[in-house]
Amino acid sequence: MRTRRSISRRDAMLRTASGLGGLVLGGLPAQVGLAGSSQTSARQPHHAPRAKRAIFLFMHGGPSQVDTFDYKPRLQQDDGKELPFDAASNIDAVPKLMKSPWKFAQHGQSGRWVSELLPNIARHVDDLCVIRSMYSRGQSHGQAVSMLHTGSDNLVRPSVGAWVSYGLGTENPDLPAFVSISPASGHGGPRNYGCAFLPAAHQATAIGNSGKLGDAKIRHLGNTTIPPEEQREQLDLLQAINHRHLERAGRDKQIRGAIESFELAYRMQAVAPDVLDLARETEQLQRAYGIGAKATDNFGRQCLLARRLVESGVRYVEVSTGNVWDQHSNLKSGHEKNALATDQPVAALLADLKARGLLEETLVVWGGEFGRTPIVQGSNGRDHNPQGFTTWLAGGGVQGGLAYGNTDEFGYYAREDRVHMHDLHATMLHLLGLDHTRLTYRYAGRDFRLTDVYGDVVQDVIAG
Amino acid sequence: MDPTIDGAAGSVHDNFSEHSVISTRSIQCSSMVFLSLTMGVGLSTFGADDGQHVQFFETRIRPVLVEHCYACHASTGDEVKGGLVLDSRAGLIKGGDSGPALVKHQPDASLLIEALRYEGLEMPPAGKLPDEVIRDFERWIKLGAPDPRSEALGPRPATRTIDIDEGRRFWSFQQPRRHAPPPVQAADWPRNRIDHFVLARLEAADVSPVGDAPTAALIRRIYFDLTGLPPAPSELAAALHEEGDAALESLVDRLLDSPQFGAHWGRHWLDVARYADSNGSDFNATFHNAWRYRDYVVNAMNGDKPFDQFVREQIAGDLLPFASDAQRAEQLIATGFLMLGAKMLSERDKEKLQMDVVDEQISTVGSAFMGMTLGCARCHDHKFDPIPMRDYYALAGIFRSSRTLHGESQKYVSTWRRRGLPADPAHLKAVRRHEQKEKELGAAVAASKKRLQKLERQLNGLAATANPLLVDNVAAKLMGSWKSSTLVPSFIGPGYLHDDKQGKGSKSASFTFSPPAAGDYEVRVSYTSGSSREKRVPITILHAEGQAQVTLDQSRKPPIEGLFASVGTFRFAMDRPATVTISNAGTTGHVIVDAVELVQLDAAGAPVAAAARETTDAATPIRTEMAAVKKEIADLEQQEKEHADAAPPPLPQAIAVAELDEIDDCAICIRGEHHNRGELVPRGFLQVASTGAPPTLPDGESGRRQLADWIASPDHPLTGRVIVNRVWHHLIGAGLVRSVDNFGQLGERPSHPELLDDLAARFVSPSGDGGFAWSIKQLVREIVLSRTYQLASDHDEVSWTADPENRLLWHAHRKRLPAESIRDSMLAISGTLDLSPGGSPVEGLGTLVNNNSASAKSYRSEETSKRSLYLPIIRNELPAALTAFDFADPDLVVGRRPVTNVPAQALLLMNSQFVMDSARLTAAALLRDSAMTTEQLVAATYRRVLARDPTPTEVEQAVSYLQVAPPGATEGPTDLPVRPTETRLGRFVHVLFASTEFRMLD
Repeated sequence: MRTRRSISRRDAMLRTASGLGGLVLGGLPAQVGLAGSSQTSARQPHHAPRAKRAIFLFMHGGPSQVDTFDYKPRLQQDDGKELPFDAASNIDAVPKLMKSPWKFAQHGQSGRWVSELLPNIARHVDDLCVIRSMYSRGQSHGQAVSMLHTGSDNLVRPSVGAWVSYGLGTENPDLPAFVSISPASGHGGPRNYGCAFLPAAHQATAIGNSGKLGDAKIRHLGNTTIPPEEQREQLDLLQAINHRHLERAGRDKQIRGAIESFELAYRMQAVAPDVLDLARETEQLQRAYGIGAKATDNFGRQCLLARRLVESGVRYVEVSTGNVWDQHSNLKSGHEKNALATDQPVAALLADLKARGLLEETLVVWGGEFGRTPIVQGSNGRDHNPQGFTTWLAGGGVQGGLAYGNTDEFGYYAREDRVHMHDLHATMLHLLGLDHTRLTYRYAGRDFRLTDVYGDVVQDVIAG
Repeated sequence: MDPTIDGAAGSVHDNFSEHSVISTRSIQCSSMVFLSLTMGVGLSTFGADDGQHVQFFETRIRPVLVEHCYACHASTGDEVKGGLVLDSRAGLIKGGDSGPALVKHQPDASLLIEALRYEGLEMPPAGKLPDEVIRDFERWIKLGAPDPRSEALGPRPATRTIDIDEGRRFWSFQQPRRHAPPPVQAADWPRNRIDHFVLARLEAADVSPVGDAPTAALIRRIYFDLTGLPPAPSELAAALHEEGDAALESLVDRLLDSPQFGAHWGRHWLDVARYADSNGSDFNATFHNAWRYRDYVVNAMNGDKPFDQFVREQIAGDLLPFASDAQRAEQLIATGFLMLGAKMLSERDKEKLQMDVVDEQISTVGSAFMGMTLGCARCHDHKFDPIPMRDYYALAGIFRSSRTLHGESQKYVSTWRRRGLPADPAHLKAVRRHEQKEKELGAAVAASKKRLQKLERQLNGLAATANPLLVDNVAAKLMGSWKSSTLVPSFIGPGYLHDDKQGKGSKSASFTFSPPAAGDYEVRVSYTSGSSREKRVPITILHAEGQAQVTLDQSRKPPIEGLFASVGTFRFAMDRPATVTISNAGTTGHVIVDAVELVQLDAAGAPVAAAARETTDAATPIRTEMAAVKKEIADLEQQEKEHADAAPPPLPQAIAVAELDEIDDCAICIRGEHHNRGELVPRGFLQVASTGAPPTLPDGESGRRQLADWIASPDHPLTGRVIVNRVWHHLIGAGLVRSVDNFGQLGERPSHPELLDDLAARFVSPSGDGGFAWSIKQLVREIVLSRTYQLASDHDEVSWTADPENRLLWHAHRKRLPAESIRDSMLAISGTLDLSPGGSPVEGLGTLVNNNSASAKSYRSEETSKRSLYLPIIRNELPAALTAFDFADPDLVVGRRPVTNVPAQALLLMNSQFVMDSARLTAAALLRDSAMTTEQLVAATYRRVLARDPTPTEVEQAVSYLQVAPPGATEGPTDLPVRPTETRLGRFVHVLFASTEFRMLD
């Protein structure tokens, strides 16, 4: 059942407005100005969480649902025929159906359909909850990517990870709460992992860029010029000077916060490089992720890093492929290349989390900003399709082996049990122990939420 | 809400499927008019067929309503979405927010059906109902929507209506007026009028202010607050030397006159104007001309442009009269204010994009000038402030009648309006001259090319006559009507034919040959290619052994000499007809007919002889002339290239707004949905902040000019207060109203309302009699010269206990330096700061800062030692040195920057190369004076970096740090007074740069 509230939203707003309702999370600072460490320190969730942390595997560009998880026999039969209903407006595809070039088969105990494009992920299908009835806003990448990351297709809003950081803080005081691995600089760039008006501590720490992990370093974390003992000596002198300043100033939160942040930074400098160091994993495990093999090395390292980060207490990790899934033409070669690069690493991540007992408390989400049309663009491509697409969840509190919702018989429009992006966000927060209607932040005269005034938790995808 | 109602709802709804209750959008409904028209019909008694109709309702309609609609649309529900209830006949008839839900007997006109069909609205949101259910609803409405339910319309939350007159009683909507300075006990404390208001409140609360700031601290504070830069050691020494009020006043005046004042205060306004050099958002397009707006703001601050004029120019500069080209340019550039927001340029629904741009403009104008959150009224009446949706759409009409976006930079991706600026006459002349020459060269090239074509035609014509096996279209036998053309080169003979894409299947052209000998011939067909040409032109060849049918792709460029394509090799005999027929049967594209040639082949399949057209004597002079013309063309094209390289700089342009051709009022977008239009609202302003009759805006004008006048009026209750409070915030460290961008119900109340009103009233009054005539500089001067400003930042436990937040201003707030000042002062202290103005920071960038592909590199700005104001403000790629210290996010209006303490700042200060380099350069500069002892060096370092002398403890500590060899050094510690190395002193300066005192103003 949907949670019923005994007060209306307007009542709630007025109450918070007059300060009676207080802020949503007990004791959460409404204004910035406290020390960074207290802004991201661990906080109590709203309800018992099903997942303590989340990994979002962002398939940037929009993988095709009808070529991966949404099997449509009618589409295969009617290849080349006219689409029997209207196509979405503002697209370049022509209303002619194009069948999937890949074969589908049923997998696992659940017998869920997965195409031959993703053979390794298919082996984990009993752990996946495949939502086939996603829909979202934004016919272009920019809007849809923003919608996916911030719940708004046009306005500047905090990203999902920033909300999670704000709501839960980090489990490890020496690490940030939110890390974005190889985020794209296009399609909104940092906005998609930014904090907008939330306190700055909640924005992601970025590692790598545009789908490439590179040397996997955090900026300014470490010093190659000053030897460590000398830096410690500098820090001791600095803190002595700062403490004298604090004595002169009396009770000054800013000075105290700065003193604290230097100690924290120094500790981060010691801890983070270890977490970022993939060489600490066995060669066998690295191979399982595809590290060392040309096609999978980059994404394999990203996925393994994600596991190391969540294991160390980072709340929300996003892993990005870069904008590679956008096959307006050459669907076959493009999707094959992308599947080859990501299928094994993603499957290895699921297996690894499971083997360590982390999967049940780690929510894994796989998906793009939208899907692709079952109708053809050019001679062999598919256009953008926010009208219906597939996202899957796994781990933390998710009902495995489930296929939820349906598109029409060609896989175009979400038709049954539709799940809007806002609903997905509400569900993700719910699994993490946060009520999306209560996770709010006062800015410019009103309370904001990730889901604005929308969103419902999709209870059916949650394990009983 | 009444808990019993809620309980009842729970019991009724317990067995509903949870996914039927999701509602993110509203079913539209609203009209009272509809209610009065239909009420009688709706409640009429049922006739003969009624039993059947009721049966239909009960079996086909009601269960669907209950299962799929009631959860969000029942009077007993915990929330009614879209204002629509469907659990009673009356509710269904009355409808909700966006019009009547149904029109009896007219399913196609009924919103309910539209929503069920998922045409526009999509209801129920969890999934479209089966077609047969929708057909039931259509049938039911056709029957007149018989509905036996007799329940009265359930209780509904009363719609809050905004009472404008009541709203005007709120403090910020009342006209500010001057107040007499209140009497105070400590009569010698106040330095000026401001202090009376502050002291009166302190005395009333029995809180004692601390003493005045030490002179050195005050000097540092004034330098940073007025210019964003520290005093140089010599300036500090001079200022310390001349103590006294007069000296302080003259220091303040000097700094107000410094060009660095504008560089610092201009940046404060740029925060509010969400200034950036690129669009950010989805398409990070470069704003190549935004820097002109930046410089306009800096100049306005330095020139102390009256603030009312500053407001007018930014909202409507393009519509203001001007006395000179310079003024015209300045006023056009000023409207960049409206243009600089981040826009989702790739939004394909351009109407939505336009309304989003308008929304951004309304929100920005509201926050920046009036401290009002107007964006809240886009979807519904403002929940807290007396701003109805009508006011929002009255403003929307004004901005929608102005042009911000203009054209597309690529498919689906909008770009914005650029306006030419009046240019320097010499520059203009140079550009015009260049354009003229460019045109001449272009014409010359075209003429020569035309000549060349003509020669080619002559040559081909000669060939046609000389070669019996080449038959031009003039000799072809035509069926149907063909059009002749010479539009596309090259062709044989005087021209070619096309079928005009008409009369498909009725046209053909036959070419007949007399082969000189029996044998194999290659058949070549000449045509002019193009993308509109038919890809499968049917060609029939009648040869010695029968008939062959082939097709020719005329969209492809002819591969042989750019004229011919081979269609195959066939055997021809002398006594048998040899005919090639080109037809347009079964085609859709243009079919071209030019010429057909037979090329005789030898036994090996090679052409027997070079075509005769090579050898004609008559061809020789033509060939010679052609070679000459070709050379002429090459020369001209080279000249064109050189000319382009020597182009003068492009004429200056501004990112500036313009009036739209069609000026129109804007209809309300119900719930903010631009496809769901309500009533048309006349363009206008905020009612609650207006007095007198609503404005009448002329038909042919957007109303921006009038809006600007209204906001910049001395009678406006908000404009003066908001800017005075902004200035106060920057100087004192917290606004009199701490929520500087929000003067509404949810904003904070002023700590000193009389002081704010008095300053605001004086600010908008003409000079003389204490008026500031909208002068920012005079206001700054007044505040800086108050004792309130000059207080120490010392702690006092008693006062702190009484007023921990310092609302009463018993001491100076300890302010954090803005990000720019942290960077700029490191540059200044290390002696590398370049104070020259910046120019364009994005000159080398293309249309997009970086593209959206996976291989895109992130943007890297070039190193510069100019003031941070001049760094490129690329959205999505902001300078890291600034963002670490809470630089204003250019996606938002930021009147008060957040002040955070995060480890990233500590990491940057500890490890950034820039900080280390600056520290080392500073050390090198300090060591240049070789006569100093280590103690003197420490004192000089403190004066240079922190603008004060060190205490004896500090000297001792520093000396011991500097004289000890670093840990790990081979020599080991020594207590000899050794002169510190540049590296060691650099480490020490580095520590001071990282210190809390460095980044704060005590």
